[in-house]
Amino acid sequence: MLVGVSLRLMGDKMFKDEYKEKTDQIIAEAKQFKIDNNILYVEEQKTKFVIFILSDNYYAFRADFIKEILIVPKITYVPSSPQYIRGIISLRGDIESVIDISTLIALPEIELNEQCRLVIAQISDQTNTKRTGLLLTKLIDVLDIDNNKILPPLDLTSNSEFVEGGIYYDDKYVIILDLEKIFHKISA
Amino acid sequence: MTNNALLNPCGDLPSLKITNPLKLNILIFKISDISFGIDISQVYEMLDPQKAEEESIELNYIDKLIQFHDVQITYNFPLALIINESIKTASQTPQDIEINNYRNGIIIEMPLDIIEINIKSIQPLPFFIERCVQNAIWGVIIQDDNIIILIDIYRFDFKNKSVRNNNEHSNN
Repeated sequence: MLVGVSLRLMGDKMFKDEYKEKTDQIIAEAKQFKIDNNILYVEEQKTKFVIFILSDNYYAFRADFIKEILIVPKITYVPSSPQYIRGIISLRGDIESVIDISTLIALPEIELNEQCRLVIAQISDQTNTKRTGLLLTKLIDVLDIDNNKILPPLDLTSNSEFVEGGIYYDDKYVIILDLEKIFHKISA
Repeated sequence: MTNNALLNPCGDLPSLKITNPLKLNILIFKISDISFGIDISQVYEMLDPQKAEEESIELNYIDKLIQFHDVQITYNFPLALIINESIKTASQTPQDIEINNYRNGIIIEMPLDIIEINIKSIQPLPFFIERCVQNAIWGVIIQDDNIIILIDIYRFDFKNKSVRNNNEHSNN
């Protein structure tokens, strides 16, 4: 009788040990799943882009640097300015410069029409904030792109100096322009 | 208006007074549909260009002094602004200015207006433009939604750009 009870107790202990191993394994797997999920989440982070056309080609800027998008107001030409500067505008009473990115990246000058848009781009560093309007031939979209879908730059363009990478939008290859490099260039 | 004598110059030299240091009287004119403004205290008088040449004043077309890329400039009603050299040579702006000599002038299109502006309404050129345009273009004002580019005619380099050295320029 006593022997039978002790065997049963031993059996219970073994069962409990096995069960604990099993639960530990479940928890470990759950933790691993959570870690994997976190990694997956990081990989699926998105970046917002402004997609537009310059001279029939698709381009994009990171939207972090874009403050607003406007219908092109009246631009006043400033004599003796470089060709890539189209002039100045009054933006709610403040004077802003207007830059034709096309000219800067060796494309034909933008011909103004009702499809053209002006994006106000702003970049700040430790010492100051620089802001300017950038002319676009046509605005296409503003959208989030998975970071893992951002491609390294292809060496296809003559303006690779300013190319940060590429994305596909609507089966079209879109060249991502690096606004910081553009700002650096026109500040130099 | 402090400078009415400028618009109807007579034989006597006018005596100018700056009445309010916070205000500027700006002479407005247009070239190629762009509005420009010049502080009228920099101007001694306005003359017909032909008369100015007869008086041996060195004249300079304004589009020869500030480049208008790829824009053909024509002057329908050209007018010579004779530069007030007495202020140019003064190290500080005096309260009372006596004009006693002049010799350079710029040819502009017929002025549209003279407006009084508060100096606090003058804005600097945007960063990306200020650093690459001629320093004669020193600021901007907005008047009735119209942008006016301010020009400091004392900062022009007149050497070799006078009408006598640029006879190819045609007036319409």
